Amino acid sequence: MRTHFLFSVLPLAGALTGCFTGLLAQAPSYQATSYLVTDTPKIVAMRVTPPVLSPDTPLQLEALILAPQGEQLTQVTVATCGTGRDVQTAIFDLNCFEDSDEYTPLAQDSSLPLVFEFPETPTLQDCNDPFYVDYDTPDTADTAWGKDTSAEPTEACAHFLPMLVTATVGDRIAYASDYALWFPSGAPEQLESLAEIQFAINAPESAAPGDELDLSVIAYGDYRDATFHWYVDAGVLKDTGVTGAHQWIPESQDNATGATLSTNRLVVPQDYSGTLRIYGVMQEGGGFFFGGSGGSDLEAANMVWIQSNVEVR
Amino acid sequence: MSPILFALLTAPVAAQNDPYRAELQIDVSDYETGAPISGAEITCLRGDKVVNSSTSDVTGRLQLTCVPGNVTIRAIHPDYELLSIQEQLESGANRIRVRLRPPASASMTIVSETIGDEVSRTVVSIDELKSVPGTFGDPVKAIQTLPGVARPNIAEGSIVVRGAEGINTGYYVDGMPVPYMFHTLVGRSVVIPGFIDDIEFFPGGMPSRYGEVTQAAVNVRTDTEPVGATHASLTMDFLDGSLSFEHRITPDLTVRVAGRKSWASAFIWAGSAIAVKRNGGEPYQATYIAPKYSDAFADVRWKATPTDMVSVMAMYSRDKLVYREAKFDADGDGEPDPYAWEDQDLPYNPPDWIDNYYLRARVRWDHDGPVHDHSTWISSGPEQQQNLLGAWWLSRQGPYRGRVTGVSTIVRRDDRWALEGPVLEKGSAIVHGFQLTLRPVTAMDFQDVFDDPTANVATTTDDQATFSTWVEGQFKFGDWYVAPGMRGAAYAYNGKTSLQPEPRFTIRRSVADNWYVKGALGRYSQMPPIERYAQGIGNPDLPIMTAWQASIGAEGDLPYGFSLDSAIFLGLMDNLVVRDLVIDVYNDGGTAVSELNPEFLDVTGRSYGAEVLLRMKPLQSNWWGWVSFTYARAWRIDDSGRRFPGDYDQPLSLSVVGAYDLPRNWEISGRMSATSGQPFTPIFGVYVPQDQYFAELRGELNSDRYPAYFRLDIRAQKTWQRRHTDWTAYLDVYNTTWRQNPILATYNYDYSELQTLAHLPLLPTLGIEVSY
Repeated sequence: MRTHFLFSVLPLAGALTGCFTGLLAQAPSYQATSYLVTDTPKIVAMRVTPPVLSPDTPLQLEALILAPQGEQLTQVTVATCGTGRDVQTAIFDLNCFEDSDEYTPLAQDSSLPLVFEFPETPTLQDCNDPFYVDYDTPDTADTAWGKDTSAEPTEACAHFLPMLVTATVGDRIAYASDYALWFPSGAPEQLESLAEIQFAINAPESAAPGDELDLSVIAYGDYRDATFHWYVDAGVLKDTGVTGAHQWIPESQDNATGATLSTNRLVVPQDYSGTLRIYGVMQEGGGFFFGGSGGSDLEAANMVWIQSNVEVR
Repeated sequence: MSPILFALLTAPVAAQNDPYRAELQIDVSDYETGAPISGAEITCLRGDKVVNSSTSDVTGRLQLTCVPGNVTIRAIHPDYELLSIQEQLESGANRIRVRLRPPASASMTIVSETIGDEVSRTVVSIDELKSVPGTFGDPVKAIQTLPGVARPNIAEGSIVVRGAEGINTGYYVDGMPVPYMFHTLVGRSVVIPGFIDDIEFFPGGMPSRYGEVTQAAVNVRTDTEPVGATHASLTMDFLDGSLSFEHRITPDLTVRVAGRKSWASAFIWAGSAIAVKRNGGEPYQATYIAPKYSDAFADVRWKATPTDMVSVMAMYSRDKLVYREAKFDADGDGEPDPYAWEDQDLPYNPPDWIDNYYLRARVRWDHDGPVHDHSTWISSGPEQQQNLLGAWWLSRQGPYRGRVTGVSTIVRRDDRWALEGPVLEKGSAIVHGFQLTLRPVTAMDFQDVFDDPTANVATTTDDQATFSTWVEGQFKFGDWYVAPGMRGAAYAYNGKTSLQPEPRFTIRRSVADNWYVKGALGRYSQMPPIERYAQGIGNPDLPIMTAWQASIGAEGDLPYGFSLDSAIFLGLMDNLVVRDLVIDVYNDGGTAVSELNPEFLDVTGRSYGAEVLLRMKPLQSNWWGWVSFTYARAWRIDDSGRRFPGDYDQPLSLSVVGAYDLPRNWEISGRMSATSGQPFTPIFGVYVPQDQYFAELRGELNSDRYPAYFRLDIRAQKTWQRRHTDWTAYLDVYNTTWRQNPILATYNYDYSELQTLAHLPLLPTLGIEVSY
């Protein structure tokens, strides 16, 4: 009789499961740290006017596209999907853009803004779950979806659909999307577009490498709950790329609306020269990750932005 | 050219005191049947000088005294081709197995040996494959180093061949189809290595007797070697332990029994529990994923007459991937709270992400007459495949969040009539046969239950039936071997019937001394698995998969003990089943909502490529190895004309395996594998400015690739010989460069970079083998 005995020892018992790195370890810090313009174009802000989507008026899309200096936008498109039904349709991702039957192009051009019509959409036959709309317009531009309280809200039927924006800059493509209610039977109420407000930026016209610059944006109106985003070509933003409202300037005889101020500080790199672009962006609320209205932003994107150039020499 | 397929030197069986004598125990057997050969004259030569010679007895065995060192072993038998091989003998006892082939057959002493009657069959030497580092000791898995075989995801372990899909490779144990060959995640084959005699591998161009699969066949054979007296083996490593036993009760009656049980899950549980405990938690708070599997095998063989053998075989395999979620003591009673699902009447056990099993019992009668041979058998047994993971990394196999169960019954007969005459030479034959497969199956879709535990399980039942018959001529004359064949397959499934003609043709010609050119052309068909066409889980419209395969090549011996085998191949596949994800917009309680679901598409497949195997086993040397290189492309074209790479499209693949025998019984071996990255469907980050996060937008199907794959494994082994015991210690190191070849990968926050989530690190395995 012959017997074989084989005994193996593996020192790393846990090795079977492999090595795992942190899942999504970077999120959501990127909102505050990814403020530099890079070689990859990005769409960082959008605005659809008017923000409550309906066939009542033509729609206009504007967007802030960050790209290296000198690179030009060559094509921009906007599309939606899921508009072909007469029942409420709620689509929460972008996969339907893969389906040619669901895809609905809205506009295409070589520059912004894009003007387009509300897509042809069957009249909703069965409104299974009407939205209760109660806008406090126009002063505070607050939204209160789902608030069925004392204000006798309007009931309205709508689709919840994505909008996909594709911008071609050079040979690269930047994508952005937005989710909103689409009212085939007309907007129950309308919101103020932030395009209507006064929005300004204060930055020096010139600077030297290594300088620390004081920056500020000012929005005329009460936007103390707003979030401010900053983007620069280079340098370090001492207060990160996301700030809140730092100062409220009450209404006065000279300033009927009052004003909201947000500040930041930029350290210019020692090796930088030439034009340094600075962008300030404001949106109401805080978006999904910053505790604002977040996912309740059921109107279309409604942001405002402004650019200032600093000559570094 | 060496006229036999291989001879291998096994471990010395006993030690002797005389350092100037080498005692040989030689077993001589027929290569194809494994039957012992009596009357073979074996001569041991030192240089040109005959040291000793003897003749094998009725059991095929002989004892011979020779001298240590490099010698030539020559075998002569009137019914077989001459054998002459070089061996390095140790002082003391040595054991050699010699397997002889009939004359006029083309063969090469290489690790993937081509046999004359099938142009593309390769038979793999188990002992050499067991020396391949990085396979965790599994010879079947080592087939992945051969040409034409794509590197699958490490969690799958499939043999994906020549641009086809994983489901297009059929797995067999002693010619009997089995539902799966490899255990999930671990990749270890279901057959216990101690019983494997060799592995037949058809990368394409299968002869007529193989069918119902469109690309490749892997047949693990346990019945080609005769059972000796009594052998037992116990194998243990960090994954599992196995015990096998074989015994010759009488010269005509043998029995074999083997079993294996995994215990990796216990190690993983212990490691996880300790880690939790050290962090202040309780052991029941450990969360882990672990493989759990077991295998069993038994057979009894009775040689009823000198020409008839009756055997009964049973085989069982269970394969699980278990996810054990943490428990907590929310109510503070000191006991862990039950899982929420424990109160629900679910149709599945949620921790069993993968739960597969099958049982097969087979009764077989083999007749080996002078002119007519046949093999007749019937097998039957239940089977199950369950996958709760959905689209995660294992989704290319098995059902999608569902379960398939059934009972498979197969009746098969193979006949072979030897032909010999004024034109046809010995080895010519007519072969024919039939196979009937009946498989009532049930497919269950758990998708709705995932969302609502009270939902009904969408269930599809089907009675699959397949009948195949074939006839093939195998004609040898002069320098030619020609084998025209025809197979016909009738399928009944999913309310459909289909009749598929499958002409086959293979040809080989000797063009020079030990050099051959060869070619094969054939049509193949395969029924889609029920999990691909079942309502809910799959696509009910899927038709029969078909493929035309063509290959031409050359093989032969090179100087210095080198040999070369090469081929170029083309595959035209229709109704090939591939998985995509499609958006499904449906009415959910009055509101249309969308969901991304799997969709099995029948697509057209195009594959082509070239493969080369350079085998190096220089005479009078102490090293061997092979280089395997493949260039191949695998394209898919759907109904809309969309063209995309197949899941296993890996244009470049290179494997280098080598072993070196050092003095003092040391051996080192290494394996290097480098392949193109596997295709995947990229995802683009779409910024949602209003909400400041990145949504996903899928790119073109399989339009991006993982980074190139590279792995270097090494193994060192030392053998000591004692009076009645041999000791072997080895160190096998997997992935010595610690390269992070991704098992799982995901994107960074804005989808601009692919990041590896999980990879297998450097894995050292230390082992000791004791034999006595």
